[in-house]
Amino acid sequence: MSIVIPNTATPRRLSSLNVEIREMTKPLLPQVADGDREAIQECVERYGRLIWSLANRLIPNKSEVEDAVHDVFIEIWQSAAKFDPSKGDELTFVAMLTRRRLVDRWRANLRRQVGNVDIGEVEIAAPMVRDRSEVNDEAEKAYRCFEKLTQQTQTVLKRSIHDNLSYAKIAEQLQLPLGSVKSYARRGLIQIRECMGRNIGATAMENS
Amino acid sequence: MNTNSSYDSRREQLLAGKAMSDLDRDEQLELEHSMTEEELQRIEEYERTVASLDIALHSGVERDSVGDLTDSLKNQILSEADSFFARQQTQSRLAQADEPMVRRASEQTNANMEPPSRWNRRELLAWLTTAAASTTVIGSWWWHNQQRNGLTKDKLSRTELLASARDLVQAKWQAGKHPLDKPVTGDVVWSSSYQQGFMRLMGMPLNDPLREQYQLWIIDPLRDDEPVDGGVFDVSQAGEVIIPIEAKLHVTKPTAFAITIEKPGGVVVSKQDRLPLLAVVQ
Repeated sequence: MSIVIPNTATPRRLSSLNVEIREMTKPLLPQVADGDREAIQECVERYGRLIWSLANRLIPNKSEVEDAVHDVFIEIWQSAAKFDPSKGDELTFVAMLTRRRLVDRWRANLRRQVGNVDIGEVEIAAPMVRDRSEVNDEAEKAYRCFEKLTQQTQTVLKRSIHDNLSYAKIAEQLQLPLGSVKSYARRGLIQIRECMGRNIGATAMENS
Repeated sequence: MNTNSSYDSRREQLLAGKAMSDLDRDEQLELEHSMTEEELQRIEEYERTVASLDIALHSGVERDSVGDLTDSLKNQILSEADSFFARQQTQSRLAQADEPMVRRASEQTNANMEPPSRWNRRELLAWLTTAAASTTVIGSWWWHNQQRNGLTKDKLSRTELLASARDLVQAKWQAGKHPLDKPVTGDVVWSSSYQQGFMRLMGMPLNDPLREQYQLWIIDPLRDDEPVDGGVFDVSQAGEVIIPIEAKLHVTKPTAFAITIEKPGGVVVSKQDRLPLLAVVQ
């Protein structure tokens, strides 16, 4: 089963899609942690595409993508028991583990290349077109908070988190000092986290 | 007040930076100095925030363009999962098998050592003497038993790792900068995907843990210029010993392993004054 909701001709309200997504994504990791073969299989089906696409974006060397995906799944099997639904949804947890492992690998690659390649040249992804129909609750909240940031901060965060560009490259592209780029990125993330915390409170009040 | 607030703000920026993997070496050291459990949780919250934003920014178009896992890759992943959980179950069974043995021994000891309900001095003295003797015997038996079971368990875990890890590296021990009096043989095995590995040592001199301990270092140049601490260990029996590696950081691609002799408890950075063994990955 895939988490991807097919595009519809008319835009659908995200809240109703979220209900669908929630139904489709009842947590699997507690069963995975017990070694349940069906849950493991379902986990590969459900998150494989997300992991594959993140790996393709974050690993510049395409011949290493399959290896990276293997590593990510091992990380998921090892960490499945740590999943705590009270802290957030499973999709975000899986995405977090995926990024953690891929970024480790990406940094290792960077170190290997840094001798003869400028870090700023390691560019991975082309600009993308967003499809909001694939987001989950937490991602939707994150995006709402992201939209409240200044344009400059949004640009820095998007190029850093999504496009995986180095700060040096972003600084060069935006003609900003390196320290400012770092500052924009960190402060932007702090603001999003704070804003998401407030949103969670507001949602709880709306639901009560 | 202002000082506290500027300190908090600085800490918060370091936590956010850690989640974005953008800390330089000095910042990393600054953050790790006196990091609290609560801060570790906050880093994870920031990591979740980054992941959420990444999902939100992630394009359907892009996903479609890279496709999905192939059936062959899915099958490989499932087969690896089978090995992984089989290994995990065996390890858990071994851990459970150890526990009742120790519990039974201690329960039996306690039952035999129930003190008499009414005391006189002679009875009390006799009971205390018996209890002390039993404690010594049981303690000694338990210690030897743990040593033997630990070795068996680590040996099985090592065999399982050899059988299941796809990315296993193996290197033989050789004399390092400061060789031991007698040659030590054996090897080290490591799997980066499982983040697990074992040292096998034959003929390693016993150490007195109160005076000095062995410490393993993992050389992983792709990760860092500094070696990764692989854990402090003791050798308390002659013959073959198998020691699980306890890497303190994620290891990417080790190129060598080194054992140093350090003060009890080990060190954060080794001066490498005594480096008796080295294993280089070919």
